[in-house]
Amino acid sequence: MSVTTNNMLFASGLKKSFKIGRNKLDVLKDVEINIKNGELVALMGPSGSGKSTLLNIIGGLLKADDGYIELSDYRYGIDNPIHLNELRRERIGWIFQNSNLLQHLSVEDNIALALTISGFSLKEAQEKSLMALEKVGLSERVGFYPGQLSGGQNQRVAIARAISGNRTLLLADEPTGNLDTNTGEEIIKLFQELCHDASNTFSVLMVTHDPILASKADRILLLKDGRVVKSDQSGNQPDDI
Amino acid sequence: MIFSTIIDNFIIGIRSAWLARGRGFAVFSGVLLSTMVLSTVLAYSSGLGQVAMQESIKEVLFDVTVQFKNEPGYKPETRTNDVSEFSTICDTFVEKPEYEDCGLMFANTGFYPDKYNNQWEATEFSKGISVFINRDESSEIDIPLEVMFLDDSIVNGAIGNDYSSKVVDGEWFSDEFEQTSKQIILSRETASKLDLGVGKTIDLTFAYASDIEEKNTLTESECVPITEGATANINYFANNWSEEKEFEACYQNVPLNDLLIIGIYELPEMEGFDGRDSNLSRRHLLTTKSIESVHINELMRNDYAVLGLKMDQSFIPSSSIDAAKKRLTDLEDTMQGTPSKPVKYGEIEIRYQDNIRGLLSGLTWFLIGIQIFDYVLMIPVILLSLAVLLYGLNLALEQRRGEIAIHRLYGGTSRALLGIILAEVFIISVVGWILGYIIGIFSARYVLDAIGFMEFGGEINQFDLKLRISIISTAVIFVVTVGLAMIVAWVKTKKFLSIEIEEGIKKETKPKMNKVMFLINILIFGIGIGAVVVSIINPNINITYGALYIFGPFLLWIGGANVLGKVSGYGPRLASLLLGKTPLLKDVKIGIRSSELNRSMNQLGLIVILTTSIVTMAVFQGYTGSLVDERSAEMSAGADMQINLAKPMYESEVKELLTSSIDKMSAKNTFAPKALASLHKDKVGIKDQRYIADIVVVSKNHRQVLNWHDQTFQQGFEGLSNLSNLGFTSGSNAARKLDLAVQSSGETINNIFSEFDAFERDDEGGFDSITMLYPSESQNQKSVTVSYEGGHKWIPGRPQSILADSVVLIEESTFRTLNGNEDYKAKDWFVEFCDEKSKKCGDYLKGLTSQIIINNSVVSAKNWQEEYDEVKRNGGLIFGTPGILSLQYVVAVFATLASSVVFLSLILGRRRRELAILQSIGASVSQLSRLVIFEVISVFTFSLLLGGILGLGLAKVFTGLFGIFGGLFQLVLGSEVVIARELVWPWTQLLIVNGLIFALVFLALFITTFRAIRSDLPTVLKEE
Repeated sequence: MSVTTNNMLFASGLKKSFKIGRNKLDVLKDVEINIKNGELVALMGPSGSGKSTLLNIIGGLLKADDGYIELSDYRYGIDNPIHLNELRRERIGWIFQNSNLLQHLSVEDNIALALTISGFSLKEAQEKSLMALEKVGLSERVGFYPGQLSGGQNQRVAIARAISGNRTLLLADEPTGNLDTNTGEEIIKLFQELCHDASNTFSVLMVTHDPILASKADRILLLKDGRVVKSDQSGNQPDDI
Repeated sequence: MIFSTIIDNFIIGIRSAWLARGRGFAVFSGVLLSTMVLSTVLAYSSGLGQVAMQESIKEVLFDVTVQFKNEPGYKPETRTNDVSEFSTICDTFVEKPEYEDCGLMFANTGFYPDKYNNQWEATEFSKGISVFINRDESSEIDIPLEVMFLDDSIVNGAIGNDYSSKVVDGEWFSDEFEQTSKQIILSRETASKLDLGVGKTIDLTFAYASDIEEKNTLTESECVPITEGATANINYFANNWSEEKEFEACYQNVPLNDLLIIGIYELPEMEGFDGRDSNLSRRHLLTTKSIESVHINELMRNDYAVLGLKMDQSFIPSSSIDAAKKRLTDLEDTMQGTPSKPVKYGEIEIRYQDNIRGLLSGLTWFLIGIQIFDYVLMIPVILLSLAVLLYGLNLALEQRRGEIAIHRLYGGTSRALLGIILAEVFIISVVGWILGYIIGIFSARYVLDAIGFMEFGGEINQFDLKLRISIISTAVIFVVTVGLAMIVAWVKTKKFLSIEIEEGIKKETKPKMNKVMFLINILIFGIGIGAVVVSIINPNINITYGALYIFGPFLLWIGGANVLGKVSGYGPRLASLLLGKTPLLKDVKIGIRSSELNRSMNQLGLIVILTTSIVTMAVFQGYTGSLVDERSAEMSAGADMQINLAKPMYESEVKELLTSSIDKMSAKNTFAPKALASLHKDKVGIKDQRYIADIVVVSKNHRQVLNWHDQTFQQGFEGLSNLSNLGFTSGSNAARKLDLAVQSSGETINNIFSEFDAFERDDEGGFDSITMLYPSESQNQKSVTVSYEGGHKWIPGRPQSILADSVVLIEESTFRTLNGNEDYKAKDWFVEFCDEKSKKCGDYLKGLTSQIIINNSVVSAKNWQEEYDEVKRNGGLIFGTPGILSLQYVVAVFATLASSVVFLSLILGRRRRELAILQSIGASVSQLSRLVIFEVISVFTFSLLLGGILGLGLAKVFTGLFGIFGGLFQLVLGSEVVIARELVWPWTQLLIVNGLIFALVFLALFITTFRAIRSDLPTVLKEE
């Protein structure tokens, strides 16, 4: 199986183990997943099942022991993260549980920096930052610093940063974990809008523990014992959860 | 319970210290550095005393001399006229292990400070045995000649051995004492003046006082010769000013004929307690075999007997001057007793004169002066090392605020937390302290050995050094370093414990700017800048300016570093402004963090400014000091070699003398004399002034041979050039007498001691030219009109200003106009051989000097190398300064590196998350490196630049301080002319030094950045 016209991401045979003292812990055993264009996918599983590990490998922050990932014209998996900056710069946007914004930079500069790093001129970067902030509904908070915003607002800025530039895949590691239910729902709603916006389509792979939020995804993947055991196409919650 | 808590804390502290070793490095390096500096300075101080002591007592010939306690006629039972009874005192002394040798000699009458009202009168009444050598030239001798009669016990004992090592030509007395009756050994200085050498036979008459009475009391009938051939006469003996009494003596004039000169010896003068030469260095030596026993008895009766003692110097503690003095005082008390309870040898009471202790007493004050200066000089570097400690500790503890808050969250008590942190800081500090203490004591040896800036001679090994620090000083170092670390840790932890848990967990707090402190720093900096301005303008010194010279450097340094440290925070902005649009920063410009927001970066900036300014100052002053040393040697030697002759000679004769001496040398590689120049002293009449002026004529090759310096002349080298054009310069006294018009040089020399104030005049006018007449007193005088080219301060080879002050300096061409173009002779000759600063040349000059000096016609000779060695042995202008400056430099470089590594590690450790976020949004290694490196390097470079500028100001303003101390020390050391400390600017060396620091910091930055970039991204990004 390979990336079809409709598939944005395809991963196969991903394995990852960690050494803890003398013991070896196999976290991912043989993972295979695919994500389509414009698809919002929730990744669920019990604690320690390897959800974040899988996300980190797909996001180019961690290398797999074996297997590969195809994302647009990138093929990677066992490469050192230090060499995958181009992938992270051009294709993947990250959203973490904590917003991971640079506290000393304004909201606009947080986004613009990501863009100048990607090769945009300062002027272009500033324009695109405004557009991204507009998309997440924070155009009025341009000059604010992260410390002056609420948790939900910060997370929106992180999303704006992730969607800026030419990125097409958003990886969200428990993006609502620090937020209250309402705000969490707003974030998921934003993801849905981004995925289903015909003019500029994003795909989202989101790790979450919250079954209600997960139920709003297009599809849910269940990771158990290092393998994807179920994939609910309808977006309904798999029985095992 | 409390004990077990302490033990628990200690164990947790050890574990925690080991786990937090990266963070603890800040505390470790701060304590290490400050301990090292403090212990080096204190160990250096102890070593300085030991070196100075061992160096000075090396040349003492008679460690102790013993004479009668009471003068003739007073308590006669405490004296004896029996030679053998007096000599037996020696037996008592040598029985003691502290005394190696003891012998009898007849040298001078006793010294009785108790009898006279003051020491000077006691000295006046202590007379030697004068001698008249039957030669025509003796009339030319301007110093009193004296003889000593040495007994067998001196001649063939340990003192005799020491004496024989001082024989520069010929040999010591025969082993067979009987054969010494017709032998004499002459003092070199007077032998040269008398043109006497080994192998010649002379007749002499020595004279001693056989009866001393108040003036007009003695009658001719009472004063009769006591042996056949001798004569007797009544003559002046001494004055007792306080009682307004004059004393006369009956002198026995005893001829001694056909004495064979078997040796020439040379011994340095040693100033003892009473200011007299305890080495009795200029006396000709005879043995008691040369005189009849009746004269021996008469000398004994008239108080000329002296016992000379040599000590086993290993009994003198070399650890400190104070310890040595105490031991010697105890020994003196044992042998002499106290005034109320004198020790008696039979019935005899003695006066024990300890020449070593006398020497050490003088040395103590000199060393105290030097140490004060050195301590003052070390203040910046001590403060610097303490600053590294404080800032490092602050930063390391700042990192723990979150940890402390979390501990508290889980129920940790304040006491337990405080205990753990204090235990951790204590353990790290103690390890740093021990290491710093050991390194400090070890490096003191190198500080003492420095003979120039970063130049070590290796001469220190000849001394038996026991570098140690007293228990009290050790405790002080411990309290200042470890104690300080503990206090800061205690205060800081208490502060963390007092803040809310939630606030404590926050990663970073906004720095609070203390406006009052900042204003104080601006004020201090302003005063420091004022001191720089004063040192540039160089006005006449007064109390205000003097205070500025002394305190200005420190105010400038501390205030400047604090103010400029804040300014250095703008480095990233500046870098962003300058390079923001270039490919270097275009893509990361937004991310460059202004260090104003970053306390750690500001502290790094401050430390860099503190260290760079010290390094800059140390380099500049170090090189300047070395150059001043060289110039002092140049001034003293006058040329590569200086030869002072007993009689004037032509150049051709001097060349012959040189050639014969060179031929006698065993050295394989020799240098031929390249050129000779002379200083000829003469007198000229001055037309219309009825004044005979002393002149010094410099011969035609003087510019090639003599060590002129532009400080010599009021008008610099222009004054020297104009000498060849019928010009003359004048000393200050001569200028006044000749009523010369004083032309301002327009350029003041940057030293309070070196200005030509003596040439200033209140009224206008005076002569611009004078007409010299030669010979000074004759009918057939020739004349020449010469123009005044300003004043001179010294003449090469004649550092004593007293000579230079009273003479007029002209060149040979001018003198030849006066003497009818005839060749003339001179007594003082200077020779140019080779590059005196090269080792080969220096060794050669030393070898040749010792060969030339043997020559009978040579009174003295000196060379640049030995003069330079002498200057260096005295530590240059200020003892130990080269070593102290080298230490400052090394410590400052080490401080820069240590603080850079510590601060960068801590800063980047704190920024791991930021770097991880940047990586997550796609920043490449190149972009991350550029972002961080430009940010840090911009602060570092800006600080380096600001520190360099501050250092230049410091170097300039320190010159005033050096000038004051250096000038005082030069004067104490006997030089009447002070070489001005003109600051040298060794830009190349400075660039190399700072370039090296920059490269090392860059390397440290690169390594720490790379480590930070290689962090585990998922883990760091997940951190709260």
